[in-house]
Formats: sequence, C-alpha cells, structure tokens
Amino acid sequence: MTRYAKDQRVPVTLAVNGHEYRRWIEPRLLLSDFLRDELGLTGTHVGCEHGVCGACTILFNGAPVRSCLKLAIDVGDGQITTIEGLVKDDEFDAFRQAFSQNHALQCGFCTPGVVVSVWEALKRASDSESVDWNDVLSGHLCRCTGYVGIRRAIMALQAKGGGKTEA
Amino acid sequence: MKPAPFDFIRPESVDDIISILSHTADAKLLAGGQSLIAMMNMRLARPSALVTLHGVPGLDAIEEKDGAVTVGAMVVQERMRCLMSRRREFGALAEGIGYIGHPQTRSAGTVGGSIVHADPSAELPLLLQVYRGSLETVGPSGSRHIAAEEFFQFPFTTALAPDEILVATHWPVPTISSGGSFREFARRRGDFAIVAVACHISIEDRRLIDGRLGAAGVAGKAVTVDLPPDLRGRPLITEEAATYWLEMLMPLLDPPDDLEASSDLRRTLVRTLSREVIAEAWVRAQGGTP
Repeated sequence: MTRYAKDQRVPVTLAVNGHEYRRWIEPRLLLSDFLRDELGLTGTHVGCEHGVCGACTILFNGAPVRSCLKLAIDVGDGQITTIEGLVKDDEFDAFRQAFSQNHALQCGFCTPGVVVSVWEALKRASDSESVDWNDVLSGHLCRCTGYVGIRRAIMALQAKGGGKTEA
Repeated sequence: MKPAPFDFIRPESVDDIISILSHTADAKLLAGGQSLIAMMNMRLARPSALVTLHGVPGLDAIEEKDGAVTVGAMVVQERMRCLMSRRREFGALAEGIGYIGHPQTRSAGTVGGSIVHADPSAELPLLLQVYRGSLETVGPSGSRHIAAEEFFQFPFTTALAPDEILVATHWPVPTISSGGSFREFARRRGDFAIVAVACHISIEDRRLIDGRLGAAGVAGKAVTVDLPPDLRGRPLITEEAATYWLEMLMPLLDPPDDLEASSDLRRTLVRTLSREVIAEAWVRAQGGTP
C-alpha cells in the first residue's frame, strides 16, 4: 500500500500517443490538465470539467473517455491517445477532409473530442459491429453545426471505408 | 473546476482497503470517477483522502455459476452492456445500461460505483432490484450478502457500513422464457432520468408465471412490485391486466416536485412507460423482438 500526501509531488510515467512521459505531479492533477499543461498537448480541450460537454474526450486503452474525470496519478499503465496521436495516422487526412467538406465544425471547440469519439466508433463499425450514432454523438455538445454536418461527415467517411451502419 | 487537494492512497488488496476505511476518517473509494470526480471538480465533495480501486485484484471479473451472474464491482458499465446484450433472458439489462450517461462515460463508469452511489434516479440500482439481485460486501468482520431491496435506503444512502466495500453484485439468471424492457424519460439524452421504468416477465407454457415491475426517479429509492398473484397463469397480458399491475406500484411513489418535472408529470410518466414496458417485456418473453 502506498500513500501520497496532498501536497506531495509524485513521480508518474504515462504512455501518451506511443511515448512515455515522466513527470512529478500533485495527486489532484486531472488527466486533461496533465495533457495540456505538463505535456503541451493542447488539442485536448477543457470545457465543462464535469464530464458533460465531451471536449476533453481521449482514447484510454482504445475506448473513448473523459480526461477531465480521470486523475493523472490514477492512469497507471493505460495507453492514452489524444487528437495529436490520431493526426499522425495515415487515415487522418480523409478524416480532416470529410469534416471540412461537410461543415462538421465551425468554432472547433468540440471538434477534438468529437473526432476522437467518431474515430473509435468508425473502427467498431468497420468491424461490422452496429453503432448507435445518436448515442455516440450524445456525448458531445456542439453548438455550431446542429450535428447535421457531423453526421454528413460520418456518412462520407463510411461511404469511403465501407462501414456497415447508417449515420 | 479543479478538485480540492486530497491524499492519494493506492491499496494492494481488499484487506488494505478495509484497514484504510477503518482508520482514515473521510476517505472515499475511487472507482470509475464518473460521479465522484465530477462532484470533486465542482467541490461538492472534498474527501481528505482518495483510495483508488484501480489495480486492486479480484474486483473486475464477470462469472456465471449456481444460476447467477456475478459482476465484480469494478466492471465497467459498457462491458456489462455488451455482454448482456447477448442474453435475451436479461432483456431489460443491456437496454437499461444503455441509458446511463454516454458511451464515453460508460467506458469508465463502473457497475459497483453506480450502485453504491445510490442515486434515486439511476438505472443500475433499479435494474438490480427488478432482477432480484444481491450484493456482496466485505468489512472488518468478514463478508455479507445483502438483498438489493435492503441495500438501498434513501437517496445516496445504502446499507454499506463506513468500513465496508462492495466487491460484487449477483444477478440471478431468469428462466430462458423471460423478457424484459426498460424505458426512460429525460430532457436530454444521457441526462439524469426524470422517470425510468423497467419490467421483467417470465412465462411457462405460454402462461405468465413471474415478473417484476419497477420505477426510479419517483421516490428516495427505486420502487418495485412483483407480478400480482391473480395474474399468474394468464395466457395474455391485456391492457386491463397491465393497468391492474402498475396501479399496485403507484402507492409506493413519492415523486419529487422540482424544476425538471412536477410530481404529477412523474406519475403520468410512470403510468405511460409502465404500460409500454409491460407490453414489450411480454412480447419479448414469447420470443418476439418488437
């Protein structure tokens, strides 16, 4: 059993986008703040900070989660992928194009979270798992597009990738 | 919106946790954090110490034996939903879990966390009662088995002692000719339920033999009522029979009157949604999938 005092700086090693980062942090540091302030990965946005808006969504061991509801100290050896990690992927250009051409974003605040969730759900859809897109998008607040553009982008990506579900 | 400072404790076993809870005043267990961290960010909760359950062995298994599915307290909701979506006899379960938050919160939120949080409008406490489940807790004097009805007491209050931890929930497997249905009304998808209703029905030789109807968001805890004995053996659930059954639930309600909904609206919703879930559970029990 290990106990860390509230004002103690604790060494942690986090695996983010395939790299290992070692930092000294306070127990109360949120993962969203760790990514932004300690690593400078400001693609992960911070909106409501209580799990509702979805702007801070990242992939944790491949599943979309709220980084504002995770403590950096509690991540352990979980693999974290942020929007910066997806940008490096070859398939991301098609993604960017679909979002741009279909007006799937305007101000861009919600976009990193939306992209992360849609990315993961499209992977599931291409594994012929049925995806409830209402459910996926319900986890993100977008005030610009009315979600219509986001749905069009999803349909465009599915038409390309051969996913099985309809947006 | 950052949590107030707290000591962070990483236990290695359930025994460690019990010893921490017995000796540390105001320590909180951290499971998925989907309610607790949100409350801490808003400073509605300021525990002096946080005890993580991540990495504690023995809390995240799902196994089936002796006619019940045992779900470890740290199993995440989305994992249970995926597993139960293939179990027709647990018809209301995957459907009900699908109403919890969003996929992005169900992938971190745990079954045990939602149950000990005991929000009166939450889905899992309602489902555990509708399926006549029970809970396994461990404390300084050993383990206890508690029926779901006795576990939930008041809003956010359970029979769990301050130095006890929930280790698993038990879900008795209904007979194969069973069907269930879950409906929820909320203003926004994934928001707290204004009213949630669940029904479970078992049939034998095309006749009703068992069932349970329940509602959440309408009292200090979820309320349930068994299939009335005079409906047993019937070959069909009619509109009158459904009304008869749901009217037995109505006296148990003490619905809040607040900005989200009046108590009258909540009562109306229970009546409407109950008719829907009874009808759907009945069809599903017979092998249909409306």
